[in-house]
Amino acid sequence: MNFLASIVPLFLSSRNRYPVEEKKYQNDIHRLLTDDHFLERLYGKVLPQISSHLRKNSGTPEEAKDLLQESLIILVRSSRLSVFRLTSSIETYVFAIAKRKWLAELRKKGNRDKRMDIYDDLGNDLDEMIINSEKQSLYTKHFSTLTESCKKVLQLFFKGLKMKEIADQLGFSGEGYVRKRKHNCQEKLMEAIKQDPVFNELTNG
Amino acid sequence: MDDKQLIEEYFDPTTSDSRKHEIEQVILTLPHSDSRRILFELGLGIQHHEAEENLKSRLQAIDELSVQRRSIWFKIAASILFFISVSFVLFIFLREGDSSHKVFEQYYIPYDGVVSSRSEANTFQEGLFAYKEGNYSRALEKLVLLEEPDGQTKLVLASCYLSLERWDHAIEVLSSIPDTDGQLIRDNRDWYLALAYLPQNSFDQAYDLLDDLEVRETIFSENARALLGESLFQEIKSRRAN
Repeated sequence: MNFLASIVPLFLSSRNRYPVEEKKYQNDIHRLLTDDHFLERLYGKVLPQISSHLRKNSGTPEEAKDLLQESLIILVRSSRLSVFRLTSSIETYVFAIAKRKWLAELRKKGNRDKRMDIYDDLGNDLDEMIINSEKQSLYTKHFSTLTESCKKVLQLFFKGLKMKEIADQLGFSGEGYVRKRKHNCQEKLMEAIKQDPVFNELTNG
Repeated sequence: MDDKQLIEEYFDPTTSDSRKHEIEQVILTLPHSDSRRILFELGLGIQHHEAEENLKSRLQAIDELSVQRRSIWFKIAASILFFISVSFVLFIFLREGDSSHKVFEQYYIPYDGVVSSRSEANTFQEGLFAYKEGNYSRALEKLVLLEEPDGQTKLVLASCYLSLERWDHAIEVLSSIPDTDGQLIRDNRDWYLALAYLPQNSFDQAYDLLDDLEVRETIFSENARALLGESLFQEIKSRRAN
């Protein structure tokens, strides 16, 4: 009984360690977006890792910089969802994403059989993160082709403004007109996205 | 509530985080090609577009800063490398000079073949006396006064200059000794001239003279052979062998 009493708190404390670390990792995402020193330290730590990996796998230092930026963007995009949880440090994630992304790049370039050491214990979530980010880039690309008026309506809507507020801000006649305009813009955008072959590749692949 | 209303609710700033969490769980179960999911993800992209652009520009700034820093470090490293290279070249040059000077000292013995009865002039006698005493400055003072010094006197004069490390003067005096002054004088002239060239690092001139002394079987042949074996002449030997 005494033995159990002594180990139960230990067990509980080890169980509690993970949420504390996760909270720290989540806080790091916030720092990534706001703290220049934090970003600079991360850059100095991860860029050499990525550069070294690319040097061994047909990449250049310039490509390493681009890959670092893309990997950070992928991580930031995923972290917007509250269901997303970081289970390792940002450095671990960014480097793991960069490795997977580079492997995909090489395969795209024709190295279909290319294998490299991309071992990490972050599971398939990373592949999902990469695909979601690529979809995001595709949506943004098509969004930028909309008329300025369409863009404005959708931007204000996703910023959380009510239909009435959007109508007032853009000088439209009323809520009904805004709703109709938003619907038309959305439909136009959806059609363009769904007709894009890259979209089909991403959603079916 | 249908999924479109869910999206509207999600982007409403008054919606709580826990409710947003629930909505995400619903939307993310929809297939990737579903319009509502696309709209939801597009909304997230638009909502955070500024933050994303901001991150990109901050990364760009960090990259430019690191390039600048690298450039400064590169300049510092290049300066250090330049300084080390110059020091090294200077060190090698001085060491070579020092080394040739040491070789000179190793082989140089002031000329002692002079016969005092060859000249009756007091000046010569005084100069020769000072020379034999090792007082080369005093000897020079007297000997330079002689109007037409013969070959032997010139060898004594040159020895004074060599002892006082006035190489240019020694070379000038020795070079003025004509071949017609006899074999022995000529051999001495060439030997001391070769030695005079060493501290000047004029190894090619020295080499020619020593090579000639060695080949002609003179009293200096053995010394010339030994001196040619010194490392100073290795480079010339291999160069000329090619």
